[in-house]
Amino acid sequence: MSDLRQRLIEGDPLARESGLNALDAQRIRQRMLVEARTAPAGTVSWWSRPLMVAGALAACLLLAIGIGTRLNVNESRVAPPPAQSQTRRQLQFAAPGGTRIIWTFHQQLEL
Amino acid sequence: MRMWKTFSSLTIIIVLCAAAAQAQPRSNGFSVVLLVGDTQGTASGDGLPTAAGLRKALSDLKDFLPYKSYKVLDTAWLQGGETRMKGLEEQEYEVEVTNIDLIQPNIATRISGRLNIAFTLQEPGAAMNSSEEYGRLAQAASLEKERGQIQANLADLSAKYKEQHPAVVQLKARLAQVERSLRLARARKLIDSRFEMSPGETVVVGTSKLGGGDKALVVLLTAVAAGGK
Repeated sequence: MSDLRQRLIEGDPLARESGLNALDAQRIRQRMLVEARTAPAGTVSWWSRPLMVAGALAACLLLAIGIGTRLNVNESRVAPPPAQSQTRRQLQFAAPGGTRIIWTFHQQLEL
Repeated sequence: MRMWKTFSSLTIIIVLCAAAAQAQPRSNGFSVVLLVGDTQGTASGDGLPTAAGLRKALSDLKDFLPYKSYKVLDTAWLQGGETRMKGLEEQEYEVEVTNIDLIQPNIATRISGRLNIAFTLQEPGAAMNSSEEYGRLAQAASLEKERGQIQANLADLSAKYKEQHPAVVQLKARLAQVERSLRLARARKLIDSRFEMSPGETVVVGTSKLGGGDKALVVLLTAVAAGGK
C-alpha cells in the first residue's frame, strides 16, 4: 500500500515543476479581481426586491378595495336614502322676454 | 431691466382692473316681492307692483308659466341678510339674501360687475340639512299619531261634558300644543338657490309642486344698483 502511494508521488509530473512565479501570480489575481467587479451580481438584481415588495403591497391594496366595495354595496342595500319625500328639483331658464327664472319643484308642496 | 419693465406693466394692469371693478355699479340692496300664483281666478293687475322692471318680469312670467292670476303677499327691502315675510293663511317665511362676494371675494364677478347671490326661502324652524329632515319626518309621524288620539279623546269628552269642563279645556290646550309642534316638524326649506345677477336686474325665483299644483310661490328679486336704478 505504502509502495503504491510512494510510486504515485514519484510519478506526479507537477511535483517536480517549480511553482508560479510572483509576476504570473499577481497577474492572475488582478484578472480575477477585475472579473469579480465587472460580473453581474447573481440572479436577484438590486431592483427586484423593492419591486416584489411593491407588488405585494399593490395586491393587498386591491384586495382591500375589493372587500371594501362589496361591504359598501351591502350597506347601501340595507339603508334606504333618507328623506325621499322631501325631494327638490331645481331648474334655471330664461323666459322669451329675457327674464331669468329659477324654479324649484317639490315632490310634496301644498300651499 | 427688462424684467423690471414687465413687472411694472403687470402692476399697472392689475391696478387698472381693480379701479375698473370699483367703478362698476354695485348693488345698493335688494327688493323682494313675494307673490302667489294661482291657476284659478281671473287675471287682474290689482295690487301688483308698478315699477317697470317688476312689470316686465311679471309679464314674462305670465307668458311662460301656467298661472292665471298673481297676488302680492308681502314686500321687503333688504341690504342683505334675513327677514320674515307673510305668506298665505298667516304662514310666515324666512327669506335670506346673501351677496356671496362679500363673504368669498371673487375677482371674476367683481370685474364683470355681477353679483353672486344665495337666496333661501323657508318656513320658520326648517331643517338645516337632509339628515335633520329625515329626523323631522319621523317626529312628524309620531306627532300625527298623538294628534289623532287626542282628537278621538276630545270627541268622547265633548259628548259627555261641556266645553268649559277642565278635562276638555286641558285636552284642547294639549291639542293646540301638538299642532304647533307638528307645524314646526313639518317646516320645510322651499327655495335654496345660488345664481348671478346684475345690479338693476330682476330675477324670478319660484317654487311649486312637482308635476303641477294649483298654486306657486313666486319671488321677484331685484338687485337695486347703487344709483337707485
